[in-house]
Amino acid sequence: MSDLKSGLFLFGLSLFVLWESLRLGVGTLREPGTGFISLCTGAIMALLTLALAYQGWRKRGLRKAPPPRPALLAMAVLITYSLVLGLLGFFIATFLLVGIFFRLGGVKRPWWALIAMSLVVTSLAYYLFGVLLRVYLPRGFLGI
Amino acid sequence: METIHSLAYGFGIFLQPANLFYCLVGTLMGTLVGVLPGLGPGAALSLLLPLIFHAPPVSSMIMLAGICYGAMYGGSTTSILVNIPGEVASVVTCFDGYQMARQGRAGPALGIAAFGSFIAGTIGVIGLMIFAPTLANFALQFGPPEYFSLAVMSLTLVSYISRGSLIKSLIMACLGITLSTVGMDPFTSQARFVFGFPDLLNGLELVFVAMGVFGLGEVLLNLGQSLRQDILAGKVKNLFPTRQDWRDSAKPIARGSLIGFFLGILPGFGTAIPTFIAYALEKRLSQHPERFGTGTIEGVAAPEAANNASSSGTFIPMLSLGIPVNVSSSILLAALVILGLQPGPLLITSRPDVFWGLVASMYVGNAMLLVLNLPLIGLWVQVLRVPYSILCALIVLFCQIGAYSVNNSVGDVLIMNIFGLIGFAMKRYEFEGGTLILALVLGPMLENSLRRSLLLSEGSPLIFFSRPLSAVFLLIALISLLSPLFTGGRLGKQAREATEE
Repeated sequence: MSDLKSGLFLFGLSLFVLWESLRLGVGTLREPGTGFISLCTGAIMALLTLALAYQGWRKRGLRKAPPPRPALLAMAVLITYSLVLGLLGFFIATFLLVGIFFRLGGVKRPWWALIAMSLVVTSLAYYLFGVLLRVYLPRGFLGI
Repeated sequence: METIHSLAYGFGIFLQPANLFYCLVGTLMGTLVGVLPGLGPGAALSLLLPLIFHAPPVSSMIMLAGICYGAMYGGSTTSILVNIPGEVASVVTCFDGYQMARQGRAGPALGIAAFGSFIAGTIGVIGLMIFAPTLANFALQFGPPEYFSLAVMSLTLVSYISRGSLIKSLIMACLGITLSTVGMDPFTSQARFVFGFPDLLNGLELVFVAMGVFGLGEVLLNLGQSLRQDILAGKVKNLFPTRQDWRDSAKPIARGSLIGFFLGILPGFGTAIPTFIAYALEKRLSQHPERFGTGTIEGVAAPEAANNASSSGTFIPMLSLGIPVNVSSSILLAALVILGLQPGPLLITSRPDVFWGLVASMYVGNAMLLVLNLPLIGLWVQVLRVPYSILCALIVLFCQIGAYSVNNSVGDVLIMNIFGLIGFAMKRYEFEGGTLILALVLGPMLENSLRRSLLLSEGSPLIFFSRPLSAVFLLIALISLLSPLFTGGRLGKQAREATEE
């Protein structure tokens, strides 16, 4: 089942690559254009992904993996982190990120201990990278 | 004579205090990351790649090579002590290494892994020193058609030898090449697949893709799962193998080194397959094959020698042709580009300081690994005791800071996190990240040589078949694609099945 889903998803992606390549301009064999190589890879990928989807369709119903809840949540957290890092600044955004990952990773401690652990780790990282190694970390609205 | 002179020049460069320091840092950091479960040289190099932006080219390459073989050694430590291979190349070490540890012989197992790696690493470096300049001279005859065919051959061989589905591996190769076209077209300067994001105009930098796919992808996959960490209680002692251990291991180390080195040069074999072959060969040659898998020292010595020698072997095509053969060499090649060096056959002559400095560092680096790691085994055991739930948060944190620090850009953090999600999905649906990374690195060369060849031949694809070397490369590619139809199996798949058993 997973091969069917991933095959169809990647088939859609290869169609998009083909469309974009045509839009960019393929040129000719004598003078290949900007979209030439992506047209070739897109076409091969379309054929291969259809073959994969067909394989998956033949094997459908064999197994079903459980939905990866912690991973899905972690992905949402990571994307949110990237989007708010500039606004909140390194310290606050990272403090929240580390705390959430401790919880998602399965650290079995009360909430105040998680906050303390996250605070210590973030402070150490801030001191090591921001102060000692002088990496210009994003400051955010609070200036830290 | 010229080689000895060049090596002396390399030692002159390497023995500068700063370079010695970078080598030390590289081997230590590499071992530290390699010790962490599930993280091998590819992940170690990806996670630590941002460090090179603060060092000169020679020092950076010395440090990255140190990270590479340090991580390899670290992976062996976890295989022996915890039965969790740091990466695929250490899977075979688990078979006998962990059994030896259970029998109270963790010390000799770790000791022979260290000495075997040191001997094999040194043999590999001698091979690198001899073969790389010769191959580079030969490659000066290559034109765009040969480079195109060589890149196609590398990608198909990597797919052929990959441990999963051939179709999935080829899909990843196509996707990797497509991703390599993101940014400005080098011929026309037209923007491709940028969609209005200025961060994408310079293309997808490998450092963010690799950190996302190998670092974050691994963490996301293991999230919420409790990785079994049955660290053997008690102190690891008697690290020095006995005379009998040496007698049993000498030939396996020699054979493992040769197998590893020569297979490491070929695209796709990387460091994992040679370990399986070395182990299988020792089992076949042994007078007591039934002892393999129960804690025999030959079962540790041979694969450990093979993986370290192949690690040196992979440097040959990378440094002499500019062709990576596995994930680690892809990242090292990308690092060369980041450092402003031009990979290819002219690298050795145009930047002898980088090549010979690197070769000299590998002689000393292997010794450094031995001298440092034997006394530090206790420390690595302590690292293994840190719960994975805490480690995963630290890896995520390190990835975020590493990605940001490269260009001080939040956009880079976003790109890395997106590739973390892609890496997770790839692992979950059993697509191999290695092929994607290799294709991403080879993509620009493949595209340039294809377009140049077609311009040269005025649009005739026959140019790839009319030049003998190019035709041979394409023939090998074709055979590797078609052979599973006739033989019913592939080497990588067989290796995976052997691991699962």
